[in-house]
Amino acid sequence: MERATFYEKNLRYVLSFDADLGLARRASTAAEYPQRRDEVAALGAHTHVFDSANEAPVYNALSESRVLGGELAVTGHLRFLQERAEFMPSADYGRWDGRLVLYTEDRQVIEAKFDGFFRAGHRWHWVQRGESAAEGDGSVETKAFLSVRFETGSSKYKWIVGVQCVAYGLMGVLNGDLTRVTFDVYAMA
Amino acid sequence: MTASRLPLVARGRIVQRQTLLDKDLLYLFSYDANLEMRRDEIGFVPGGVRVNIFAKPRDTRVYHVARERTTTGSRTIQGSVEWGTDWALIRTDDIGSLDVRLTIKTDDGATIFSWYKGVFPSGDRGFRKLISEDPLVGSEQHPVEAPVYVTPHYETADPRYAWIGQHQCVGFGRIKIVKSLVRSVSFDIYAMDA
Repeated sequence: MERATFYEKNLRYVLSFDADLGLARRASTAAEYPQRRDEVAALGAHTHVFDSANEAPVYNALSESRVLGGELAVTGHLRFLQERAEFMPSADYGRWDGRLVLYTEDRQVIEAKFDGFFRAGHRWHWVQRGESAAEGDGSVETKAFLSVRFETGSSKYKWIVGVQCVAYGLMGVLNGDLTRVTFDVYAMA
Repeated sequence: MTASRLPLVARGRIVQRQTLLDKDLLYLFSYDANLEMRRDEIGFVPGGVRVNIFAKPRDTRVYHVARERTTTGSRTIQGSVEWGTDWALIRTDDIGSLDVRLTIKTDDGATIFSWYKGVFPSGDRGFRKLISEDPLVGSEQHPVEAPVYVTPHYETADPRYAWIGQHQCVGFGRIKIVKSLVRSVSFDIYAMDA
């Protein structure tokens, strides 16, 4: 028998992050790639390889110290381990996926995987053709929608492993490359 | 011309926002799926217990809760789940991790593929309760219902439903547990939009 009522749906704010991927990309061309071992997952240790110049802020845009009714808010910085943008042929959207690692101010390590879509509406033709926009610095502003899952071995932030997260954001695309990105991450509840 | 809302970079550092970006959810459809009693019990693997759970063919329904025929001008999805499997991992840290593939056959003949991951928070000591034989979780008279959250993607070559392929979707659902086995799942599916 079909339901006639909806289930409860909530998106509860967790954190925000910004990054300048263009800056990181330029830095990485000359960077050495140190390797470090981060104790991340309940399922075992993960090893991260990245360039050390690639750092971006993780913060609470509402200046809250607690989220989800009492859990410790995540603030610090992050590094992208890998990200990949696909500009879908014959479509007016792209896909973006990757991994990043968060380093909290209290020296805990949280890993994240993400994937999702980005769209630019009527400005998509600039993105598709790898051209710059005719306004501002030439970046085409796209809206992005991500699915995000976190892993950590930290007992302080264990709560974040057990929530399915999504992220709403904006991404700049300049001449076919992602530039500045900004996201708000929410827990589904 | 509207001002850019992308992060500002000043003196080599990013200026953090103090307001949240727009967010919205657009309801698309719902589905209920009964599950086969037959399942692949892979058993204990590093990190948890793995089990493959299958949808019961033709014992599912994809529908619109409000009985509407269009969603913002596009045809709503109504039909059944043709087949589906969840390669689930019940983790030792009391988190159920879902990994699902399924196809939807619409009443008007389109086939839509979906894949998604998600989370089933099994609660305090949920892992031990679910793998324990004594007592079993839930009964026919009193099944245990628990929330489950997923983030589906969809693909189809049918132009009538091509619109769904460009959305990152989310699903808010419930699973029903009888005798420590997941007996059915039910979701409301939304498109992330803003």
